[in-house]
Amino acid sequence: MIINIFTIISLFIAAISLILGIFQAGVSVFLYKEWGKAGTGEERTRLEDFAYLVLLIASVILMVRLLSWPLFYATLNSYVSEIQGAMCVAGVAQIQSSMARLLQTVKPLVFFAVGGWLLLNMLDRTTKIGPLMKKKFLLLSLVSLFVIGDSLGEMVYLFKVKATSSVACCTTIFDVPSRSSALIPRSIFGEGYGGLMIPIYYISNSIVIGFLGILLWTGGTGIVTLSVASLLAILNIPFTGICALEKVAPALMELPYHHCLYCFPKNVPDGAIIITLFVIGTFSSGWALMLKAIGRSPETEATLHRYIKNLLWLSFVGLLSSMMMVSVHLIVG
Amino acid sequence: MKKWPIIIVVAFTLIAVAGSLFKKSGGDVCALDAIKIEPIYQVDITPADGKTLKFCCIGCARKWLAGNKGKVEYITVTDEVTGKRIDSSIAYFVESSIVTNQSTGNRIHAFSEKADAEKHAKEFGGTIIQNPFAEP
Repeated sequence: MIINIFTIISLFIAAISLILGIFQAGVSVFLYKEWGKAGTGEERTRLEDFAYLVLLIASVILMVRLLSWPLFYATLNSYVSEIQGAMCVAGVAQIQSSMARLLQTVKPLVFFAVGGWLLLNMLDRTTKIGPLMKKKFLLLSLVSLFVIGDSLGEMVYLFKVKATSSVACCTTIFDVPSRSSALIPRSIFGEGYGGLMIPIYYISNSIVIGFLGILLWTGGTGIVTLSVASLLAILNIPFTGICALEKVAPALMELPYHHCLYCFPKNVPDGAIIITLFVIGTFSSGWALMLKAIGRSPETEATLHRYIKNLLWLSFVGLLSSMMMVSVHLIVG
Repeated sequence: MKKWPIIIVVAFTLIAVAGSLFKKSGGDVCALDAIKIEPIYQVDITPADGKTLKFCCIGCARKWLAGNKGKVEYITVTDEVTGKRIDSSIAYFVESSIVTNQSTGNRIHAFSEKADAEKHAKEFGGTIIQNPFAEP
């Protein structure tokens, strides 16, 4: 285990999340079953007080949990100087590689689930009677399971990373001709695929941004249109990912032969902002769909429409800003 | 029409402009693995059809060459004694116990004078080797 300030903060957050996650998972199932059942006035008041306390704790913990995704990368980055052969996070992630890969897959899902639950909670709190309470407790129990798995995995992983480890640098993973990000476009477009990567990046992102623009222009917030927007945003992830690995990131880093996305924020001062905007832009359309699917009730109707519109705006602005920033770097060079 | 989306997009665009300018003011990084280049160990490769690429050590330059055979116009290395750039074909190379870069583990050193190469080899348990960039 490598002990530094990042490890301590990460372990502290993971431990607290784990304990409260277990508590939340159990209690939310209980509240889901009990909520709305007939009882005496005193019993109902006691249940409501308890439920609001649980929701308050859940909100605080889940908000902190949102930070665990960027904090995880900051922690891995802090290990780079400690591990022989590592030059960036890619090197560190080779230690216990399958676990590191699993955590890197789970964390975005946790981020999405937690963000969605917090939005649902915010929506429900705008009403007087809390019509989404039962749904919130059911979703909270599922989110808590994600949080438990993520926190436990993170703790085990951080304990297993040793300073005595020796790894290969990221060039042996991302710069070899057999890298998967090159094999896929090469098999489709042939050897000249490189020239198509930047146009594909723009086409793919423009389609999503354009569709979101049309939704905002026409005021369409139906479940079908939101599903299409989310689907386009999801499909945009692999396209942007491959284009970023193959051409966009190397061009922005001014390292045409280096295809490591972990090196990207290190070599482009605003690289982390570009990635964050893309993530927020992508997730926001998913959150809009999630709210539409779960948050519908006569009491939330007016607020729900406003929330969905704001999320669509956030998605539009996030993706557009990310693309504009990439464009500026490509033009200014 | 809402104003805040336009303001946010413009603000991030300006941040990108600032980021581009800040990036230009930073030091050179290796074209292969993006680590900062120590000028004394710098290797420059000029491909036949592109601008010169800078590498942090001979090890990284060789790795790049392995995937780009036949595409190179010329290679310059840095004389570790004077810091001058010399053509790799007239340089002397020593593989010794001294690691130039902890990350890559490169142990090959370049010199413009044979006497300097021999001195380094003697002091640090090395041997003079053939031009590592020469094609077999």
